[in-house]
Amino acid sequence: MSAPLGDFPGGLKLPGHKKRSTQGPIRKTPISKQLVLPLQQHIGAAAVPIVEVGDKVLKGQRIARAEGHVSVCLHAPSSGVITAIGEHAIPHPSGLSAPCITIETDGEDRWIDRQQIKDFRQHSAHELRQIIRDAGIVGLGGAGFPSFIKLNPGVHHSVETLLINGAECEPYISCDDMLMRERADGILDGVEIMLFALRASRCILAIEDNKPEAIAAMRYALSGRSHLSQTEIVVVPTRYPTGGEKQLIQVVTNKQVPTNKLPIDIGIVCHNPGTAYAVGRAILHGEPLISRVVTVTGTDVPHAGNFETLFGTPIKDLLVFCETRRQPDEPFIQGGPMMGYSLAGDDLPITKTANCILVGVDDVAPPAQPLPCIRCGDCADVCPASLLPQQLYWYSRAKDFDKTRDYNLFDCIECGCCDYVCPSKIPLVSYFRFAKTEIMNQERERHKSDLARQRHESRLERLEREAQEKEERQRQRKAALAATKAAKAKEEDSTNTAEAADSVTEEKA
Amino acid sequence: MPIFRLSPPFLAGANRVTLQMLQVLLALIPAVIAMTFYFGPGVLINVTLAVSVALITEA
Amino acid sequence: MLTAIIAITLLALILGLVLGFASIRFKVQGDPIVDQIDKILPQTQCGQCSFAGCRPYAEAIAAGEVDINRCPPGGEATIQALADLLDVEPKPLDEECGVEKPKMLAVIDEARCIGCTLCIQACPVDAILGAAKHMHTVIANECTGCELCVEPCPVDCIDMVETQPNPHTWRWPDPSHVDLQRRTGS
Repeated sequence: MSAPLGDFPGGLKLPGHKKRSTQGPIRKTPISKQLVLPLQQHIGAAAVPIVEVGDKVLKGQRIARAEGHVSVCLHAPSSGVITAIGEHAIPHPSGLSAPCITIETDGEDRWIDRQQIKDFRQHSAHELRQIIRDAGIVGLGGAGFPSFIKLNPGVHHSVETLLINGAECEPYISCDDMLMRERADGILDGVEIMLFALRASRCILAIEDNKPEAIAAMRYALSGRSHLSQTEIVVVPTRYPTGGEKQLIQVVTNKQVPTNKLPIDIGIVCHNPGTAYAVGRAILHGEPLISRVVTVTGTDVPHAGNFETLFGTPIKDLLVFCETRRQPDEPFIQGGPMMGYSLAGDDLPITKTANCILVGVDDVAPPAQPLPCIRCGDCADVCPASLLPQQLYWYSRAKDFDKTRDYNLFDCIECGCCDYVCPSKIPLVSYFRFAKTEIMNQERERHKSDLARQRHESRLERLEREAQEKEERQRQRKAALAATKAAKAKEEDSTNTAEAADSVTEEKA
Repeated sequence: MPIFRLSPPFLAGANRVTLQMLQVLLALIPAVIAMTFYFGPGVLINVTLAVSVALITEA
Repeated sequence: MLTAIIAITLLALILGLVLGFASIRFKVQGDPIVDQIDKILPQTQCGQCSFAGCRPYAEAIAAGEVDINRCPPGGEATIQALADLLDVEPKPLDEECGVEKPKMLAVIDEARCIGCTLCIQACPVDAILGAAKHMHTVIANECTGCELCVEPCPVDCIDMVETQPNPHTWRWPDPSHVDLQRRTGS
């Protein structure tokens, strides 16, 4: 059954530093006094609040509804009172604020009624997707794309393989590892539902070989489910970035996802084990997505570990709970050390996409001004997408964005391998991110100016039409006036002639 | 160690320009030896001249 | 000698026919260069170029009557794009027309608005909503920031505010201009 593994170009062997956070079991973070929930924790349209300030909410109660197709609902992670709906700082590289709902918890943590489904096969795939959407489930690997969309094979595609991405290739992060070790059964519950919703014929659980405990736990859980015979565990070699969706597909199935295509176009759908677990909880236990496992680790965290944390918990509280040696104002990283971003504010909440909080790293990039590029080509060697980072760098720097597109900038997964090996310490990924957002901004502007042109043209048309109508009306009025005048004149005329005739007759008489 | 860079990746490999250039010099040594062997010690004068001109113009 | 003359004449005749046919068959409607220029212009319809909108300015550029540096909202980027398209030297923005400003958005102070509809008539893209004697409001998504509505307002209730970036429209800074290092201590 196990086909030979494929390979992707480039990549790096990075020191894992995962042991730091896998020493103890997953712990629960205490409930914070205040939970701040950004309305947009997913890709797509922000959710719309359906509660008001002062409302009492129960744990798991829906507090915002999905808006449009690409959107999910949001739920209260604990019982309490809504104290504010408005702008609040969010964990975003920009440091900007966004609309959030703030809940003052009452500490009772009282659940709302949960609708449990014992036998999900009695329901249609569509119903299950609706439940998953209403449960607010998004991809927990980091991107936060609404999961129900990725559980819909659609009419144009048929999904052959469900790929559960347990590679977790980035250093330090271990939340998926710990979840697989401790809740393998829960993950398989979700996998069964996902297989059913996708009508997929097989499932592959890909795990990197530096997680023997997780592999053993998943194998053991799988051996207890004879009906999951189409599911197999594939152990993949540890290499960064194996956990990239397209890279993992290449390793596991030996197929490449074409440029501008999605994995579903080649019959594969990829989900994170955390997402699978959340799907299982939502369907079988009626629990919406209100918490996740977050790795808190780094050189400045003495009690590193994995923590099941309610969404909205201030990162500060979590760091205090882990007794970090973080200096005030010291920036920390959300996500991994290669693809995460640094945050500075203290008052930021944990969101659905926060897989790791990293305070201090071992092989830190030293402060250095970038030197000129010497064209060594090391970056091209390590690029997992087979791009030419130095060409992309030249063109991004020169703001020649059309050229960067020609060199397939949008195939860049921003893994940071090129940056890591660059001898001149050029911040290549920063240039690529800059170019990408500039291009997206240009597209937005173009779209906006097209709209403005259309509106201006239709306005001119309208004005012209109105002017014509006015003229027409005036003409009609004039004509009518002339007509009445003529009629009057005629009448007068006829009376005149009549009078004249009368006078004539009178004279005659 | 707290991070210095404010943009990802926050890790950096050990690769440096100096290291790369030392590798280049290392790779050139056999070539220089072979040339000296075949064409005589004049090659060394050539190399010295080229290196000094390069150093002077670069500095 | 004679053969040569006949051959050339015949060739000229046939090619002439082909050309004549092509000019009828593949006739281009309108002037595509105007459309291309119009596409580059930012479509604010502000009239700072002294023309009554972007399209008339595009037509004037295409006719070679005016310079390409009379569009303040488009700024340097637009001048560069126009220079590339028309293959001329880019020039600095004509200061007569105005200066390049960040993107603005008109906001009506709804408490002060008297519902005179003057701004509605001034708006080139119909981005103001309202009726006589009723409060007006700006549809933020449609506003081009042309400032044409500010002048006619009799009670000065329209303010131009800079558009605030939100996490959705936020852009990564240019690494060659910002310091990506953290200034540590001292």
